[in-house]
Amino acid sequence: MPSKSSPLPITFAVFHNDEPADVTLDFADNADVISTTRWRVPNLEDDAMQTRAADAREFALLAAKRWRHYRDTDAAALTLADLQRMIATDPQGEFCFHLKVTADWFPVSLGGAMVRRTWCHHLIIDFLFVHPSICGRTVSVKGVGIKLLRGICMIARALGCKRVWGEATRDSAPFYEQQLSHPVEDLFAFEHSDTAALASSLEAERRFA
Amino acid sequence: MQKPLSELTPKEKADLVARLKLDAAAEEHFTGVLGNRNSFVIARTARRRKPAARKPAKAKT
Repeated sequence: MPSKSSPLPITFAVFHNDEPADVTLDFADNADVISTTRWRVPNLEDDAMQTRAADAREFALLAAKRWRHYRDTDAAALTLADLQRMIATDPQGEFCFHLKVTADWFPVSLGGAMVRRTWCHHLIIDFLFVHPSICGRTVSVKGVGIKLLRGICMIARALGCKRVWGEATRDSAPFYEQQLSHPVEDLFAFEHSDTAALASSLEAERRFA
Repeated sequence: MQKPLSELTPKEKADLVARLKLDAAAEEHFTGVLGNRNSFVIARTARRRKPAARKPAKAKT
């Protein structure tokens, strides 16, 4: 059954310089999404890290571009209540929302995700990314990506969605395999039991009511 | 857990650190992004500039 109370915002800890530090996951608004387009890629000596950081910025830009499309067609939700209202009005509508992770110890958002709710009430993860400085390891922060994924599962649980799915690439398939404990090709799917478990694991880490 | 990190007891902090280590291990294969840049279907087609027509060379007289 869909939950009546909003699971977001949620505050939990991640590692910052190998010490616990609080961050908050919440729905993003227009200003939040647009602010990610101003992220800069640090100059790194390690080519692999440089590529990762550049990818993060590119994914944030792509997510913002897609956001503008949904925003301009009145299909972007700014809160869970918004999303629930949109679904109630048009049960087979396709809607979009963005998530952000913020902390008072980091000047901009630490990461984000662009998610779609499909006509058959599934969630699709289109883009999920952490800040280029975190990707490039010029800032030591661990746990933002996995917790964004769990946060999406919390929303799926709150909405009563039976599946969270998306496209796995050559680079991301090993990550999904690790979460799902089975081989993944170019499609991953977290079914109801998976999303419930991931949602519960984040809920258990909620640090403030 | 309802208190600031600075007020955690050593045991509470050790438990939290142990959980965060598990999360960090679960991110072992996370490169920093999920999704596929090539599946971005809403992107507008980039405008292409027409190559400027070359002016016919003037015949040398």
